[in-house]
Formats: sequence, structure tokens, C-alpha cells
Amino acid sequence: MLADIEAEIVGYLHMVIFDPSVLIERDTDLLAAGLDSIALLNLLLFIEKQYGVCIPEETITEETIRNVKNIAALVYALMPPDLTVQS
Amino acid sequence: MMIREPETSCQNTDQNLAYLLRITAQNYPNKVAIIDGTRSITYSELWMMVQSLTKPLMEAGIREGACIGIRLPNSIDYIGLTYALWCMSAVVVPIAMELKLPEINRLCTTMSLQAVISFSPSEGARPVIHPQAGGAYYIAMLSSPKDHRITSAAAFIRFSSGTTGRCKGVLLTHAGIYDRIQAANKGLHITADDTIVWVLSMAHHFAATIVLFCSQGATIVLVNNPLANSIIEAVNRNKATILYAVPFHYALLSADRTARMLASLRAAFSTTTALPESLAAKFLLRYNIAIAQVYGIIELGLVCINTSHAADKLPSVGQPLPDYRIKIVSDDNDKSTSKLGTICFTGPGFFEAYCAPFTLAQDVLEDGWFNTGDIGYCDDDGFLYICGRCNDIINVAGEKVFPFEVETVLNELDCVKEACVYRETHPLFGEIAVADVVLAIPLPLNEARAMIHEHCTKNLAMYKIPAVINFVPEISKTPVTGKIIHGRHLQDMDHAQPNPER
Repeated sequence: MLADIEAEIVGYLHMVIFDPSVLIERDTDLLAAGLDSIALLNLLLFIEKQYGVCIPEETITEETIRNVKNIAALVYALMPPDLTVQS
Repeated sequence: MMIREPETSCQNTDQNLAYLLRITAQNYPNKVAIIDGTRSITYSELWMMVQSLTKPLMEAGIREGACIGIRLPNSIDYIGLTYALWCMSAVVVPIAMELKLPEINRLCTTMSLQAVISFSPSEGARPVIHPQAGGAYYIAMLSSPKDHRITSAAAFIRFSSGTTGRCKGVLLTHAGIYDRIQAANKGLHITADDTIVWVLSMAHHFAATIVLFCSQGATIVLVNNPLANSIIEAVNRNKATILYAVPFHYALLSADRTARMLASLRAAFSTTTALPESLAAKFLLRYNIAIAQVYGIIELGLVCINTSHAADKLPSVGQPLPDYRIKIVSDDNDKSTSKLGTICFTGPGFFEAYCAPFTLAQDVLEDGWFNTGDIGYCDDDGFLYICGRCNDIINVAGEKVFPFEVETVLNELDCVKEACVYRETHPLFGEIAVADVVLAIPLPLNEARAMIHEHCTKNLAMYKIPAVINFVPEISKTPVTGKIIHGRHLQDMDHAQPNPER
């Protein structure tokens, strides 16, 4: 499940947020890659639509947003238990 | 207003904002103009950059009156190229980085762009390499015919706004921008002593802010990620005096759990969408700074700023700045501004025209007044409170979404008979887009949702994609004109009728 979330977020970032020439992997530093205000807004909207998770603002920090691995872990932690045990 | 021509080797104009930058470079040659990460540039260097960029732009075929798209992230280069194009009397059309290819193509066609400048090499694009640039730019020349209604007086077209929910393209002239920055500075009071931390997209915010900062010799610090830590560090490292942001940034800052303060700030301005009272109070408690709300209208400029009573009149956008007059038009034609009604303004710096379809401002204004489409009232002290909108534009964390544009994309799908896009409130983003959809063919709703989402993802910036899709049997329309009524359509099919295929 966590690996699926990581893969979906990588796919989203690659397809929608970043230029195709930018290589995005689970541990790519997204801030260094150019994740700006609108990109973050779009990413948060994607997460909300895809996983039904609204990320609280106090958890949106450089650490949690730094890479896909951390973002996916945050999403997974915020998902209702009945959804996270599927796999 | 009086602006004389800039002295460039390429072009002569009667009135040009580039002249203001030249004056700033003369007055403050060694003052740092822009800090972008590890790069910085003084005003004299910025002016030299602007002048030297005009040559390769000219060689690429850019001429006076040409509409040129700029698709670059916030950067020194963005500002340098804008002024270089103004030096040549070309018209700058910002293209937001988040737009998808079909959206960019629509913009290029609608605005008759003659070229697009970006960091991305495309087929046939001409590279421009400048020693002070962050990298090579690529100029892609397009075959659009020049729009002769757009003259050398034009400076800027913002592909946005309009009070009906349709994108119109707002044309601003050099003279109009000059007038509006003079008026805005009677509330912002920007001087060469100011350092502004800038977190907004220049594609959406430039004419009344960046131009003002550059005209006053202020220093602009670009912070290209919105996180609290980055903003706090940028403010404290540069001893910034001004923070110019949207409620989304203030929400992240308010949630910061460190003890760091923003002691050097003399003002924190919030723009683009209403600042929730609870957020303003939380920020005040955390940093002991009252956020001043700014009310800006692309057609007119910054008309209200709540600098004097930000702490005790939290929800107000302030009094009209000295150069502007306000009137509130209520249904019963009561002239009192204390009554709830439609907010109208008059003052300097009006837009010149809407571009699509081309409509002169004078044909839009009502006896010299511009109807903002916002609903509000003024208190006894003349402070304006905005209570809602009578237009359909959706404001997602400050990004404008035009229902008509999203509906058009939805209606391109064979499985969609009709769609209606409207706003709903959201705790972090303020508003989000929601779509009611009537299907043209029977489909499992999950399958229909997936098709719609895939199509929207290909054709729309993410913030425009409806966060919620409701399937409904019909869309309500006005009885006489047959226009869609934008709002939730009851009898959502998810609830109204069982669907065995779900």
C-alpha cells in the first residue's frame, strides 16, 4: 500500500508538476527540484482527491515535503485504518 | 502621468515603464535589486542586463506591439526579460508554469502571441544565452498575425479575470500601470529602504507590485518554495521589511512550531482571497504581527489596504486608497455604502481593454465606475468588508478558476452531456471547484469519474480540476436565457437513484 502511494505520487509529480526532463524518484529532493507554491497546492489537492486525506498545515514542513518517501508516509499515516490495511 | 522614453539602442517610445527602471538604476546603482537563492543583481546590473537582452530579442524577430508570452519561473530572468520586452515596446503576456499544453495553446491563439520565451527548448526555438542569465532562454516564434488594436502603449496582458467567469485577457498600458503603482504606494509606502520577501507567482502578480518595488529601488527576495521555514529564514537572513503572500502561506507560517519571530517586518500583506479571521488571529498571536489585507482588482489595481486597523478590524480590506472612490450599489438603489451591495470603484490606472472579445474599458465601465462583481459594505469608519461574489469565479488558494473554461473541457468528452462547475468552501484552500455532470450515455460512475479525471489532468492545471464530481440527472438553468445556474444541483445521482454498476 505504501509503495503504491509512493508510485502514484511519483507518477503524478512526473506527469503534472515537473518538466519531463526532471528525474523524480522516491528520494528526489523536491524542494531542490523546484516545488513552488502552486506546485505544492496542486500536490495537496491531488492527495486530497486521490486518498481523501487533508494534510493539516502543521505537518507541511520541509522534512515531510522534502521527498516522495516522506510525503507517502505522511499520507499513509493520515489515512483511515480501514483503508491502510487493504494490502 | 509623465513617463519619458527609455534610451535603448532598439526602440523609441513615448511612454514606457522601462524608463522607471533606468531612473532607479541611476539613483541606486549599487543597491541590490533582486536576490534569488545564491544569485543577486544590483539595479545597475539589472538595467545593463535589460539593455543587452533587447538585441537577441530583436534578432529573433520580436518587434514593437508584438504580444510575447513569458513562461518562466520566478527569477531575475523573468524580471529582466519583462523589462527588455518593454524596452522594445513589446507586450508581455505571462504564461503560468502550471498550465497544461492545451491551455497554453488556447492562450497563444486567443491572445495572438507572436512568440513564447521559456527555459524549455522546443523545435525551431532560438536560444538566447546571456552571461547574467540563470540559463539559456528559448524563443519560439509563432505564426499568429499581429493584432493591430494592440498598440505600443500596451504593456501587459493578463489572461485572466472578467466578471462573468470567462477568461477575457486584461490589457494594461504603460501609463495605466504607472498610475496604479503611484496610487498603490499611497498605501504600501514602499521605499528604497524596503526589502520584500516575495513568494507569489510573477505570472499572476507583477504589474502593481514588482514594478512598484523596482521603481522605488527596493530589494526583492525571491522565495521559491512556500514552506514556513524558507519564508522565516528569508525574512530573518535579509532583514526583510515586507512579506507579500496569500492566506495559504500565512496558514503554513502560523503552524510553525519553532520560536523564531519575524521581527524585521514592518508589514505583512495578504492578497488574492479573503483572509479568514481565525487565521489572522492565529498569526497575530504567533508573531505579534497583524496581517494587512490588500484588495486588488486586475482591471484597476490595489484599491484598498488595511494598514491602519489590521488588528482590530481583522476581516476588513481597509479603506479605499486616497486616489480611489468606492460606491456600493444595492438592489433598492440606496446610495449608502453601509448597506450590503455590489462594490464599484473609480480611480486612476484602469485597464485599457478586454482582449477576448476585444472590448474597450470605456464600453465596460458604467459612468466611469467599474463593477467588481464582489458584494460588500463599509462600516461607519469607511472600512470595506467583502462578503461574497456575484460572479462565478472560484478562488483556490488565490488561483482563479473560471467555470466556463472547466465546463468547456468537461463537455469535450463524449460521455458528458452537460456540466456545471461551481465553488465550495475548503478549510485550507478557501475554495475548491466542484462539478455537477450529466452523463450522455449510461456508464458505471467510477468509470465515468476516471475518464473525466484523466481528461482534465491532460487539459487543465491541477487546481482547476474539480475536486468533487457529482453525477446529476439535469443541470438547472435560468428560465428565460437558459443559462446554467452555478451552484449545487440537487438530486445528485449518487444518492438520487441506485446504480447497480457502482
